[in-house]
Amino acid sequence: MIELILVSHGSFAAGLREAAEMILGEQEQVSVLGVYQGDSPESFTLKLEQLIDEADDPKNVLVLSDLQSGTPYNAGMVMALRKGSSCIAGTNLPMLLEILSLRDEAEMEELLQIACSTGKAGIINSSDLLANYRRKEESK
Amino acid sequence: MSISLYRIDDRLVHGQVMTAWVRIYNITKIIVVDDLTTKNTFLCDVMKMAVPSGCNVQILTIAEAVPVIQASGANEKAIVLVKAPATLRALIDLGVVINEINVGNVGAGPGRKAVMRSTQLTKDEFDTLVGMSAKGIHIYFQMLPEAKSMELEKLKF
Repeated sequence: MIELILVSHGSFAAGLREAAEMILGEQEQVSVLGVYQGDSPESFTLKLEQLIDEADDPKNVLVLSDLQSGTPYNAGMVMALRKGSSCIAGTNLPMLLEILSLRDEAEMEELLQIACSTGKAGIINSSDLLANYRRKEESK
Repeated sequence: MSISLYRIDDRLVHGQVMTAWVRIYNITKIIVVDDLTTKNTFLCDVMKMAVPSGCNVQILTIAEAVPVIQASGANEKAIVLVKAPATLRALIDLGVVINEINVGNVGAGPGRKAVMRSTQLTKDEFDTLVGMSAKGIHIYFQMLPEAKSMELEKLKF
């Protein structure tokens, strides 16, 4: 099973895990780490490193971060370079749900691909949906 | 001198925002000036990965940046990117000529106050900007090229 560490600004990571567990039930091997006002990037990176070191195999750890170039992402990428773990930016709930349901069997590379395409596909614009719907209704 | 833009943004090089500025100015080179960042080689690598394609990036200390900025040729268009006003102040003190400063995103932190919605500054940082403005440097707040800009003079701390 691929181990997950959700990292974010503030409590987004903890909230995201809570939301996912509401839908899928309690999950194993999902840690969360938030950066808060006054935390330095260095101390955050150190905390993330400790979490990754506790994992059975760092190469089997996926860090899910909220925002590219933010402190949580930067720390996740530094770990990817140093420890061989993986990292995604722009994590959302559709992506996390997909990862949680596939991480038992999928290989890391495959999981990364699916996670990113699911995350993108989960972003919906109501105008597009309404326009499609109206077009269909009119053609009836 | 071919520095197209001096920008303050505490995230330094990051995805969409940098891409937008790079496109509008046809930037071929990004010069990040931040003493602390240069010491973290892994973070430098991460930052280089976030650079829009077609762009070179150099991450330099203040002392290293001065000759690089002064020698930048007319055929390359560069952005100088810093985290805080004090870095630009230091460059000026070392002889770099700056005519215009774009202030972008600076996140919240201890002692910081929102002078714009996405720009949180300390009193010191704000005063540093005011000091540079008093010397004739045009300072404006603008997050993205297509966003509205706001002149420093219109803001209070």
